[in-house]
Amino acid sequence: MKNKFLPLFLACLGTIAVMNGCAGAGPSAQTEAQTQAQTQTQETGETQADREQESGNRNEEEEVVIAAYRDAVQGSGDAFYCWEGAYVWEALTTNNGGVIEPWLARSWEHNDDCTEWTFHLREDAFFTDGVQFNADVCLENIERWTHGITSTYTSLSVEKSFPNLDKMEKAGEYAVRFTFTEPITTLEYVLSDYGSPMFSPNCFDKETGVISDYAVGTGPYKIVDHVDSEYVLLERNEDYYGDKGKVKNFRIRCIPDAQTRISALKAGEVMGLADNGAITMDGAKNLCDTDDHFSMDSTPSHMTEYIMFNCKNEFLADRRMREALNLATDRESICQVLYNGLLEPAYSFLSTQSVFHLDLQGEYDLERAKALAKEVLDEKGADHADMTMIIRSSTASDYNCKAVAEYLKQVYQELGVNVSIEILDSSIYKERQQQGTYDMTLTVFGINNADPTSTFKQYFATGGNSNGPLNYNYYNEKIDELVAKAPTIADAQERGRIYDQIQTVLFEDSACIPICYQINVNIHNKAIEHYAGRTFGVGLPTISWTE
Amino acid sequence: MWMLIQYILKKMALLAPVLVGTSVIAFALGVMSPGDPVDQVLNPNGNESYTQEEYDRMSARMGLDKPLHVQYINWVGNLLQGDLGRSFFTNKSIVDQMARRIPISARLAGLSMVFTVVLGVEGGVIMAVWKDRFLDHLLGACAVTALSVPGFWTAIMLIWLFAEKWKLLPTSGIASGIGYLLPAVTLALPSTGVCARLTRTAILDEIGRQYVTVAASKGLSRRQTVVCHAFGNALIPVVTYLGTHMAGILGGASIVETIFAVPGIGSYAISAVQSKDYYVVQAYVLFSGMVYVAVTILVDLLYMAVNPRIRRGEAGQ
Repeated sequence: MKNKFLPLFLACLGTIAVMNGCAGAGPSAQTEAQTQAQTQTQETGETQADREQESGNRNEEEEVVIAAYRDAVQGSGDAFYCWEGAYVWEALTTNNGGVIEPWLARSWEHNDDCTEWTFHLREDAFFTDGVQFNADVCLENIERWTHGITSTYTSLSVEKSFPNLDKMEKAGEYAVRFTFTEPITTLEYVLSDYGSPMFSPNCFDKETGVISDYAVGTGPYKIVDHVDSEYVLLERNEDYYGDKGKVKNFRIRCIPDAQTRISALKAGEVMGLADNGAITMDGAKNLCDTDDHFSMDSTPSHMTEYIMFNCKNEFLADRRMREALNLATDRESICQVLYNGLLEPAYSFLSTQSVFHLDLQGEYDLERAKALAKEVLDEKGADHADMTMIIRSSTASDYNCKAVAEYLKQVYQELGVNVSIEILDSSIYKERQQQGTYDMTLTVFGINNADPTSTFKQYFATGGNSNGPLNYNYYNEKIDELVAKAPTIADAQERGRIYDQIQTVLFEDSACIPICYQINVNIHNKAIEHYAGRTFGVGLPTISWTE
Repeated sequence: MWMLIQYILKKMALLAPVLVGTSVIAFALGVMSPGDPVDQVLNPNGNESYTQEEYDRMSARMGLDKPLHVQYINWVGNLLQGDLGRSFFTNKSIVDQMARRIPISARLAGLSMVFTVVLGVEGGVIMAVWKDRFLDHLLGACAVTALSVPGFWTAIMLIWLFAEKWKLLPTSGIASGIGYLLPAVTLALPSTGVCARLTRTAILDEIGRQYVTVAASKGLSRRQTVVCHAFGNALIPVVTYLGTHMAGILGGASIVETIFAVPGIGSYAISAVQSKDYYVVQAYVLFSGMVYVAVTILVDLLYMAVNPRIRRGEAGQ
């Protein structure tokens, strides 16, 4: 009996070994399969490679599949319906690497005291349902924002996009005028991207503002199919006023698990990964180093990694202790070792992607840091200081923050600062911030729009909406004065000088520790090209199959 | 028959207090969990500011400005009308979402159950029939391995092998029916191991009994004795286990659903917990509770079906 089953068992093992061997034996076979692998036909479960073999060659008619960790379409209940990176809707202006550029508004002007703004709209933009974009449609859209529709991306309201708005009116068939009770010097910044999404008036309810079916925008792509939490199918807008997309269809799949996304990429089911945190820098680099079917492009991001302090801490309230920590933070090593040399060290609060970025250069001086820390500790009669560093769990997983925190813990210990690291779930993290039960936080964020005034105010001004409530507790009269002055200056260059001063004061006062300027990592199969990151997502219209 | 109906009605009557208890727990868990849903809605990316006025307005809109008992009564009132509310974040109807996701989880659970029953029970019977032979040892080792390996590791290995290496199955997604295969196998593997061992033990227990000796003395082969006589009586513990297993998967196999991008009830719960979407969490807890209760009743009925002694005992009561 024993002998009866032994051959069967060995035969099974042998079959598995042979199959495994066949799959792994031929790099060329795999190469071919992977480079050929294009569109995954979800309906049949075939891989892109299978389809490619059937169709013979690839062309713009073939679908490109991209994976993201979340659904690209949030649906009717969301103010934006889908993310900007789907290229379905467009806004009045756009932030291109810190520079505000015309989009659906081709130009704008304001009066001397910045209380009256006029935006001149494109005359050749049509929604994909055939409705022309004009002043009436623009105003209807802004009216929609008064209904308090929420979003998972960012908030959308008239108060946020048009602070102190007195009235808005048509100033021609293709011009809209906004009048404010208070001057606003940076409206074009505030309205950029998620600040002013425009949809066809036929696709949303006038009473509630809710988009009834699919969102209809003026963008280079339109939604033709969406299965919640599974995928969205985009089709090229053949009547787009600008450069049309090179590929006819994109399917953006939702694959929440990071490892599965990478497997899908390796298996040829998807051609690229999109969205923040789609793959870690390490993961992308490792994959590209070990498999030449994949290419990694990195584009600058508006996100920066910082240590923010709770200045209520008796030691951190002292500028010298903050400076000591700043001096002991070896940004070069962090960027080289922990981020594989992909990131740039940061010294200025505003990222390099802000047009108002000031190129400041700091130094790493551990000895001076030790001396400064000792001074503070001696004055307080302490031989060491215990501090808690909190990190949001999502930040820790999307960026390499955990390793950075561990490294800093070791370095700060040499200054007599014993840091305990706590990685917390998002809601608990916020609660801890609101309660002020932390001493510092390692975090990654970017400015919400290209206008830094609101960000400086939010984080560093007295009464700032994050400074107090999130217990950064940073107070500096000079900052308060400059932050109050900046919005009153209409001239961008002059305002830029104020921002320079603010950044310098923040740097000299070590109000926070900018560590490195993040990048967007875009990894893709070499079967497609021009897969480049944008401020929001990857540039779908430029992507094409590799010749 | 009447007694059976009485029995079912009695069980259903017991269901009411359980459901009330579950609803209280579901509501309390949602309220007590850390974080502020209003803040999450107003500040979704953790990098925005809002005024107290905006906070109050949103809190009122979400119905969270009312005392807890009023919130609970409103919630139960809506629940009785089949309205579980809307997600704080996506603003989507929770009932619609659950109606879409429950069948997906049910299909996954069903397929996993088929694997478990077919492989687990059969494996157990084979091990019992060939007790202490090579096949018994081999299948026993397989069973122990299957139940020892963590689900997430199994998932990663299956994806690597079947999707990355052999390109036979998709890594994730359920756009094609074949997409259910890997997650179902992942879910079924540990339960198959448990089921096989449980079946083997239960059958061997039965084999030691007098009626089996009598059957054997009549000249029946060991295989006939096990399959025709001992198997039915040995099913009770197996059915109990399978019932709990089924309820567990139906209630959401969160990790497996997330790994394989299956938009079922489990992955819905995970994202809700992460975003503090506690109307969704409450709905999920309530649903899970109901599933467990329903499955318990079903298992009780199956006991009666497979074991006449229980049927008579229940009827007697």
